[in-house]
Amino acid sequence: MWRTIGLSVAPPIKPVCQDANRWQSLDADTLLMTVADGAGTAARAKIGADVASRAALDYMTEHADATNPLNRPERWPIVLHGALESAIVALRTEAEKHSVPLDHYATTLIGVIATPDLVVVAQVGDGMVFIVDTEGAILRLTIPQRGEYSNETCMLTSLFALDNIQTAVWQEPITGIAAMTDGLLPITTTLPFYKPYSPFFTNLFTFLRNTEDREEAHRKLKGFLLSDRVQNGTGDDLTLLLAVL
Amino acid sequence: MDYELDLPIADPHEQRVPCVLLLDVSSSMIGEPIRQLNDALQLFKQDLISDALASKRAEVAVITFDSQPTLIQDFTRVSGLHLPPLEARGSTAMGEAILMGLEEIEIRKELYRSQGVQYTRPWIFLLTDGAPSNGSAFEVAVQQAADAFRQNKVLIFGIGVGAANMENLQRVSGDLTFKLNPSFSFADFFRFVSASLRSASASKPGEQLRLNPGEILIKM
Repeated sequence: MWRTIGLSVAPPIKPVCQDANRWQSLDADTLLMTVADGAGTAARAKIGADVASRAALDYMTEHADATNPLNRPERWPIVLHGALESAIVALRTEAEKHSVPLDHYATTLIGVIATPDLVVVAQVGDGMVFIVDTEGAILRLTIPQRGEYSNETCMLTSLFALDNIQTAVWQEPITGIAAMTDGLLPITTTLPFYKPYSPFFTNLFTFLRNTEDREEAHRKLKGFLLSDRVQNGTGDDLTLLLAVL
Repeated sequence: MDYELDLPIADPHEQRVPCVLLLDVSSSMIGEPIRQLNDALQLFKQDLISDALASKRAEVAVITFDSQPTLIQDFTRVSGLHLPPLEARGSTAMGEAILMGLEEIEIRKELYRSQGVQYTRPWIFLLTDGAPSNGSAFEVAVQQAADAFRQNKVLIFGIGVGAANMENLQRVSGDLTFKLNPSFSFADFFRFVSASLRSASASKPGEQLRLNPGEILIKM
């Protein structure tokens, strides 16, 4: 059974957090996760991240359900692409409803379907997904998609978003998984290859495994994310969606 | 807030915000103008050092041009910015200076890419009170500036002062050509540049920057 925790926090000086994270257990083994990062300059970025993460999770819940006769793990990459597409449709519907351009809802989106021995990820934009294997090694499944300049990334609302989906499949036993928006990457990875900074992840997963009280875990993780040490190295919205077995 | 959890973290990656200053120090700047420019550059440095993010992320190079261009300061964080007093003399090798600026930027980007660090689109601020003295070098610079603009490599802001030839500047900077409002000083202009570097340093991925010179600069 997965122990899951998700946090999205804004820097203390910023009025709202434009990140979103959601998760849903389908059964004892199957966990669905979505993470979205609304673009800082988009007028309705927070709504964009909310709507996209929700629409994608709803789609995954329906299509990866064990009682669905079409549900087979080999179809999960297709399910995730469908989830990203359904998120785009949901954003477009929202934009039309309010008669505003689609890019007012610009956001990144990551979808994950995880079981103890299979993880499938689909991602548009600059977040990252990591797993820990049974020997404790931390591995990255995706890399941030970025343009040449640091203030340009691929958004779900861009015309070619569906051509830019990064898909990853991991078919070995795992003991933990972490999805994050780009805000945390400066202190959890090392350049030039976004190699996971293992001491961070190892301690993080150990902490979650050893903290049975979910509220306590949430409170302590939030305190960590808002600490000066983390804030000084980041300065962006931060999202951490974690699950351990 | 509860700070009980203390996880080890990696050395933070800092995005870089590269900027090149191209400064006209030809003989028309002799006297009060060069004195004001020197003072303004010192204030510019102080302004950036006082900003925590800009002092970590902004990287500034300075090229002066009289009869020839000189890289007086290669890209450095502002704390390392060494600005000897500039002296005015000679003609106006503007085209050569632009070419040098474009080349320095490509060299710097190569370094960033090899280290994997993120960077914002580089800026060049070209400040002149005159017109290029070498026409053929200037024509090459106009061509390369246009190519660089089309390829999204750099933004070149052309700032004319006093009797500057604005038509020439416009050929290099297009829509980013401005005249320094005579009611404002070099110090005001460099305050705008440092404010722009500060906001770029604080920018998040995906953010489009809008520079706001207020009344300091008049758009051509």
